[in-house]
Amino acid sequence: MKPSPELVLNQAFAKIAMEMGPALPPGYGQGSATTMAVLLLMVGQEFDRAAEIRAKENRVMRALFGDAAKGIDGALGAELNAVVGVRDEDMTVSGLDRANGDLKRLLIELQTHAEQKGNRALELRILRFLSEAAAARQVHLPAM
Amino acid sequence: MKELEDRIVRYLAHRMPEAGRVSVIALSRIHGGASRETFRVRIDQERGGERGLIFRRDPISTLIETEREVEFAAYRSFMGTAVPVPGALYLERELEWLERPFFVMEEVEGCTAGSILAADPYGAHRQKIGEQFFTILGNIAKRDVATSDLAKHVPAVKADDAWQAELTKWEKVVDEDELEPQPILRAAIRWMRRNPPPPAQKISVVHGDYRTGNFLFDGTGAIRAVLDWEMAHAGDPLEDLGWALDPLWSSDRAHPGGMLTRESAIQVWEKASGLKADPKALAWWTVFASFKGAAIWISSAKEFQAATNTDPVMAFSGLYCLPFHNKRLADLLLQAREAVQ
Repeated sequence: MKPSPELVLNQAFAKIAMEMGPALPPGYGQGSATTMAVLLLMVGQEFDRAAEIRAKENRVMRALFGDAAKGIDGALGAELNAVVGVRDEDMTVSGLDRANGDLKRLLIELQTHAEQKGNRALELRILRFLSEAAAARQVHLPAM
Repeated sequence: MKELEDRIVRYLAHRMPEAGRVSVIALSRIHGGASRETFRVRIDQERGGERGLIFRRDPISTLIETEREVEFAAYRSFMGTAVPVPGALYLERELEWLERPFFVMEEVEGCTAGSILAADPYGAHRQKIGEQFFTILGNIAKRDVATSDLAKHVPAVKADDAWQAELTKWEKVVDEDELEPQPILRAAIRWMRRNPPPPAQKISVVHGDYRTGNFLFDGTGAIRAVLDWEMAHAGDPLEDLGWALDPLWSSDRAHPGGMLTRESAIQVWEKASGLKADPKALAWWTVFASFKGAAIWISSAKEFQAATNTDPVMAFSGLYCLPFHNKRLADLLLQAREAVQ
């Protein structure tokens, strides 16, 4: 897709933030125009990476569940085993989001279980994953 | 705007008969403050001349469930004290004037507010503003709720229960408003319940949103007004300190809010408040600050997604602020777990 969506949104950001916004009278309209410009910048960042971020998170969570399932019996163990080896088929961002939500619900159960059992190694592995995943999802803005 | 202008003129004629005939010279909506619609109104009074007023009107939907009564009472609680606030004039619950409840304040003129996205929001006045900012926060911590206008509007809380009351309140917001599972926030909630802070040294007025962006300063670097008191409540004064020190409030992470270093800020606050910022307690309130922030951003994202409030700042909160606080919380939780064998 050319021009690339990221480029289009970046140019729209520049037009609104640098030209159209400042031409408005100071106040709510001008402030909102600037905020909308920043939104375009953020969505531009997200466009290219959104699917990859979600697909990677889903892959890492399934691998984590596969390892954790080896030491967990009962319903939770069965739930964990059920997602091992599954692959994302719907590669739209909304489809990946749905799978991501299901996996995160299971991750909350697993993390709670690890805390209750004092399984420090599993707790740390989950926390490191959450920290890395959160870093990947952060949006970086230039100081304005 | 013309209809609103006419409504304001009718209202002022009713509310301020001593001013004689009143006309509106300028009316504009102020950007920011997504919890309320805020209008700057310049009026000309037959008796009294020109005057600046601020109208804060309830929105159709709010960023957080706030009480205008609480905010108005908070302003009244600090008028004429060492905590600078605009004069709070009238609170109107009737819908006949502006279709929604609102209150009116004096405009604090010739001032500006800092931006959390600014590289250096206070420039040459950084030190001066930082010292005032944390001194004023210390003065807020000195204010007892029981003797303030707020007493009738906020629930009482005990020193050993302040943390729990706040955590429960914001956990409920996450429960009700999350659009997708939030493993980091859920882990933070469990951690905070397993590791409660020591009891509050005292219960005081807590501003609830004390940060860069929520106060006005003039060209000499003097802080002239602390704003946005809608989340004011009775609580542990360390709650406000943890919130003010949160790294989201400045792009300069070494200087919370774009002002002092964290260490200097705590020293100034301790001196002004006469309280100690116990490291264990402040560590808890530091986690809580990022958690509460995330809860607010979740709520605003839901409002935008549901189109009940399409102010772009609501989308910004969900897209920028929530990932920021998620990362911050994940790192704090990881550090805490790594520190314990």
